[in-house]
Amino acid sequence: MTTSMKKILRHISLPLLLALLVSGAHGQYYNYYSTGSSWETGDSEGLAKKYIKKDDLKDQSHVVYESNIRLVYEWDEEEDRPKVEEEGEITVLSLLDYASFYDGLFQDDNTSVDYVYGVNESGSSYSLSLYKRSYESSSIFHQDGEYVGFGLPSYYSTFGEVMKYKYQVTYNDPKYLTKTYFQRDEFVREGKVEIWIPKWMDVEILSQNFVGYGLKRTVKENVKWDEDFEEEDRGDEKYTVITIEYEDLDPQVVESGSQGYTYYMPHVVHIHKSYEYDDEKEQLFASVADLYGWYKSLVDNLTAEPTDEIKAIVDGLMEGVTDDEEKLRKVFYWIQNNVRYIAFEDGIAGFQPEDAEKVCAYRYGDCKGMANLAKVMLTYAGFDARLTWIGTRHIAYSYDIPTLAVDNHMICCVMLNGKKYFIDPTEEYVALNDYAHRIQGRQVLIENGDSFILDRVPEFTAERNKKSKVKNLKIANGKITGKATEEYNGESKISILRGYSMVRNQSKEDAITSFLNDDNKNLDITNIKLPDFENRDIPVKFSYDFTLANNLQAVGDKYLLQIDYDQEFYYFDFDKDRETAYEFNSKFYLDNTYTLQVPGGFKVEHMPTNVSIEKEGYTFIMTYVKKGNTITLYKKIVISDTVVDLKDMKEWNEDIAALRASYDDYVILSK
Amino acid sequence: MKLLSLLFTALLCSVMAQAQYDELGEELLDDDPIFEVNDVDAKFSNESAVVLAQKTKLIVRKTDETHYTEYWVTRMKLKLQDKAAVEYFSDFSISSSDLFEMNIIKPDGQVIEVDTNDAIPVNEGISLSSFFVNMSLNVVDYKKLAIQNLEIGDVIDYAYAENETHYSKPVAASGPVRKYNTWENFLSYSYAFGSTYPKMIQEFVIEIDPTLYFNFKSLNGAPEPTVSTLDNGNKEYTISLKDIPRQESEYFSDVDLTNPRIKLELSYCAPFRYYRNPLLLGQQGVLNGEASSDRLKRAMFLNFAPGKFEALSFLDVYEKDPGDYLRKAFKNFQREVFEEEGSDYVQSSYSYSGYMYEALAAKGFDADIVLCVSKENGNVSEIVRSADFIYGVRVKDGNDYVYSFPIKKYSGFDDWNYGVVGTDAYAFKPSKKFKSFTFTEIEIPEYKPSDNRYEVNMKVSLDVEKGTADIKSETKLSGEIKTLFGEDILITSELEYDRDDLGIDKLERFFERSTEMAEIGRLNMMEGEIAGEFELVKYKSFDIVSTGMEYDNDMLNYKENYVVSDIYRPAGSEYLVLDIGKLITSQIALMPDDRDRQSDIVVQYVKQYEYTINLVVPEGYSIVGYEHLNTNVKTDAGVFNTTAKTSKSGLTVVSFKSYNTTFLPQSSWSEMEAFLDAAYDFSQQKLVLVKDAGSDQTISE
Repeated sequence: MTTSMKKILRHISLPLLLALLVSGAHGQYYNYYSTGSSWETGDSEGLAKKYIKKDDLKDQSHVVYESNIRLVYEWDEEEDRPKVEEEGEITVLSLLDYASFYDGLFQDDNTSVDYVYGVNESGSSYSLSLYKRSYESSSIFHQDGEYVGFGLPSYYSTFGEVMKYKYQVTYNDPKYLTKTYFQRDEFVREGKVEIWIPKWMDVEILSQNFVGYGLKRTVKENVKWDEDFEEEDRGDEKYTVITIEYEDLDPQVVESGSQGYTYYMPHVVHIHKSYEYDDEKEQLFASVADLYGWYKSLVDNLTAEPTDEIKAIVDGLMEGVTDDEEKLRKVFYWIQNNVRYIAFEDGIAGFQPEDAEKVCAYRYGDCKGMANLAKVMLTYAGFDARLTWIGTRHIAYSYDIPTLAVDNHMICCVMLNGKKYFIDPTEEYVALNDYAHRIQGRQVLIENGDSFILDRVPEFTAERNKKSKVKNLKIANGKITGKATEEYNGESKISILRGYSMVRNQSKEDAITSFLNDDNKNLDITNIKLPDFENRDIPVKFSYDFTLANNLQAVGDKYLLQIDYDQEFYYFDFDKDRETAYEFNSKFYLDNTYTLQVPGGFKVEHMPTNVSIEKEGYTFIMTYVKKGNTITLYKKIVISDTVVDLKDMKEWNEDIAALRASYDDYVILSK
Repeated sequence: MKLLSLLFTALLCSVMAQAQYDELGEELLDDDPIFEVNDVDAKFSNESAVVLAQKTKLIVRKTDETHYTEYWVTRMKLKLQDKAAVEYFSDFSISSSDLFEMNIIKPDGQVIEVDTNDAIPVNEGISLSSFFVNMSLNVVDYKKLAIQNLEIGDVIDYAYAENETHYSKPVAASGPVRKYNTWENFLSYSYAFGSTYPKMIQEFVIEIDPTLYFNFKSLNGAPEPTVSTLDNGNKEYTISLKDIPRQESEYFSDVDLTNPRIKLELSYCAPFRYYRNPLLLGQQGVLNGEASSDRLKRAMFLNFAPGKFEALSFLDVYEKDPGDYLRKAFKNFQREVFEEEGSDYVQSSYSYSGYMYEALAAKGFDADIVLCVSKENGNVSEIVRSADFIYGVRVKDGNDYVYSFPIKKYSGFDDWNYGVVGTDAYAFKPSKKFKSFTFTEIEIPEYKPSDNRYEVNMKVSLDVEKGTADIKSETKLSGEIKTLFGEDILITSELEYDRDDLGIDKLERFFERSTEMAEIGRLNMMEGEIAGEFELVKYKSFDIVSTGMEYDNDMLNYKENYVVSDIYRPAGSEYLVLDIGKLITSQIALMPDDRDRQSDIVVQYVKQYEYTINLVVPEGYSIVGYEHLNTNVKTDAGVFNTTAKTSKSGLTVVSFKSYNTTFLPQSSWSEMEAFLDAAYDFSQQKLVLVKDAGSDQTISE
């Protein structure tokens, strides 16, 4: 082996190398590493030369030359129900010699990767090594998914030539096939997704976010089976074929603050309404009633009767409490405080709540288990409590689209005196009658026996999240000193209470200082008065004294200083190359007042320019007022629309620039 | 047949080891006096969690004639005192091959046994997929366990055990004696006491098979082991510490150098090989706390026996001066490693020194091999583990010696190993006869701060109309700093190493395109570095002046040009306020919790940072006072000083920060604070420019 070859091999990652070693022994039998697995087609070399000159592709090793994916609804004789087979033929174009090309598929209890293999120029196949890994994410303790990764043989990867692989994934139960996306990690020169629907299957394929991506959708009725695709006699069976074609499709983009994929990535949603096979008709999810019916079947078997442990806990909580809201509060907070959120998504367990008995005994559960525990405890306490399905803001859909993709969360709804109380026990430190931003305004599906109720969680104004700081500054001995109070409500309050509870005992004091001075070493904070960190029903308030260093500039007989050293949103402009809308975690409301005592003998020579920007989704106001021997800055920043669209970003940046200009300027005092 | 016999032996051994392992497993949570405690000492009452007791037991037993098995059993009992601790211990990852047991003791004394059957397996593996075969191999295999009903005030008591079997290469079964190596140090281990939770008592227990050699050392105040004899006749050594405080996360700390620490090495050796092995063996089955000088010499004598290293052609450099020869040979060695093995290759100090000495001796130079140990492993005279040997070479050049240590990926000739500089060492010449083999005690020279240097010279021009600043900078890196950053900054193709073996179109194209892609990646990285410090308007250029990998140059030198928008701002219509201090980039900000120093201070190596800022004062403006930009703080730990002088075009500010020592006791923290605070304060300094009377400059807002 030459030195250069060794160098090249070092570019191969360890997992693939191991895979190659394992499979190498079998190569002679299974045509592994077949010559001819890379070849020129059409003007592939010319295209490669063109692509590497493009700014967004010049650092890429591959593009997808052609992607042909076909989803076919089939009848599963063994399971006696429909299934969907997704067959893909992907041709990749190398923009770098010897470069590894990796791809991956997912499988779980309801989806299986049937095969993946390489195809060489003559059309014969060769095997690929698979790398399998349990799917893990930081937010989910366990889910049954498995990542199946594979790579094309890098040795044969040649600039300007293509390589091809095929795969098949089977969705064993169509209801779990909810969406099909078109974008990939790579640029796609040309692609096509065909969905073959037999007459016995009633499916609606909804196009989402097609605008701006150049996707073309066509529908053909009464199409006979394509035997060039798969040689099989299907008699006179006719299909409806929905084809989505695209060219020069950019890679999928996920940026900091991007919304959920369903808001902006082009995709189709599969609504499986019903099927009628061998004269037997089966209703699937034609409407939200069908969806509810299936959900109900999963919760009907839950044990409604509370265990002795649950009874004892509730009895203890209710002792001496007569007010209904207070009773609700007691149960709600007990679950928040004592039951840890641990997410499980394992087969049907991804949709079926755990029994309350287990969640209570284990003191942990996922959203469904915690909601069900709340229902059982509150029902025992005498309330009309119901399980409630909800899609958080992460999902663009409402229950108008009856698929399993419409919701991702479960809470509990209590009907009391004509009012609905939405209880989300996964939200630690949220108060009763307060709702996390992620569920505010969202449609909910509330159980109601055989029927259901559609409603919405109330949506609050930005003022619910009001933060306010009042700072009184003075200049003494060439330094700025002062006193401050801060008050936090809504999301910021919850965040502080939750964060404080998770800080280790011995670090709590430092954590508070660090929070209040925002890790600014120039801001020395003393005499801190702390709030009650256990009371989630009142605002969080702090007061403290401070000394601010390295702010005041003495220039001859003048002082230059910035009385607003917080400067929120100073760097909050968007990159001109940003490709997706930005979504804030929650609405924002800031109302700060800074008052400077002008030292004796000085007069105000200059104050920064005022800012007054009031747009539909946000407000930036900076007002300097000179009164007597004081200067007061009233600052108000409100974000009422949490999404900044791409089209609005230029204007947003201009407004941030105006805010920054005001921040940048100095108050000038002169003798 | 022989193969079958060996396989059967291996299987039998595995079964026996598992049986003993299971036996150990049953004892995991048995009664043990040190684990009887359930209450926390008052002094730890405000801690997040407190380790009431911890015991780690290493048992090494001879499983059969050909195998040793090491069993590690760790038990920890701790009390959870806040929500953070409950959350942290609410789930465990358990290796599928390990034993694991856990009890939860509730505040009322109820003991709940945790059922590990609820643990969820997590797998990672590779397999061959085709129509014909379905084979797979697991490369990661563990289980996740969510702990039920965990609350503040609970005590968790858990233990886990793992084992590993070593094959001792038996002479009888393997063939003729002289063909086989019949010695090996199969376990080198060190442990520093101290963790994120305080511990009321911690014991480390070692039980060694009497046929093994056991070298052991306590460092940094760790107690010496007590010894007892077990019923099976084996010796058991116990190291016990009480009231171990929580390990704080602090700047400039290294637990290996400051915390109580133990290190050990286990070896086996055929009896007739005892005097012919290069290990530091004491007496079988008995703790050996210090290798004798004779034993160490014998090890070196054997390790570097003449003839072990052949002459390497690429070290045959024509150069009469010994020091110059060594430098050139070093560079050739480095090139060879890159070309032959790729840039990830790590050269062992043993082979580097062996080959280099051979080459020096062949040239007739007065050379030595240097034996040393890294600082955290104590003094070379106390060496007990062969795994700690670090080698270099030196050659006499006039009245001085020139030293050389193994290459690192992007190291220069004078960039050695910060672990060994300034330490005691032995120098020796390989010899055919042990009688004439001698050690010379030496001290390896210490780095000077200027050996490890970061130097930036920048020209800053303000465009007042646009509100931006154009910065042209030249950066020079040397020594350890260059080695550190070189990995990110340099691209292999820039090293101009030999590419004669190319010539294939596909390879040529591969390297050209790889280089282009690497350059894009580097440009993005450097742009990201600037954007992390400033509001970057445009990153205009990056150019390498020298890589520092050239024959006659060890300094990495590059130039950048970029435009930023947040280093100055208008104050009213007359003034500009420039964040001049910001140009020396982020400095360490010591916060209140950093003031209360717990551990001794360790700086990896002495070093210097120097920034020269040439500010071009825009036309129509003047500087209003710059005296405050002159500072000078000097302590035993380091220096921070700045000087500001006007120049023809504006102002030149030079900042100089030097870390002058690598170790200070905790009580001297103020010596560090003084110059670090000075550096931070300077980074916050501003310079005011005033518009000249009559100037028509407009200030952008």
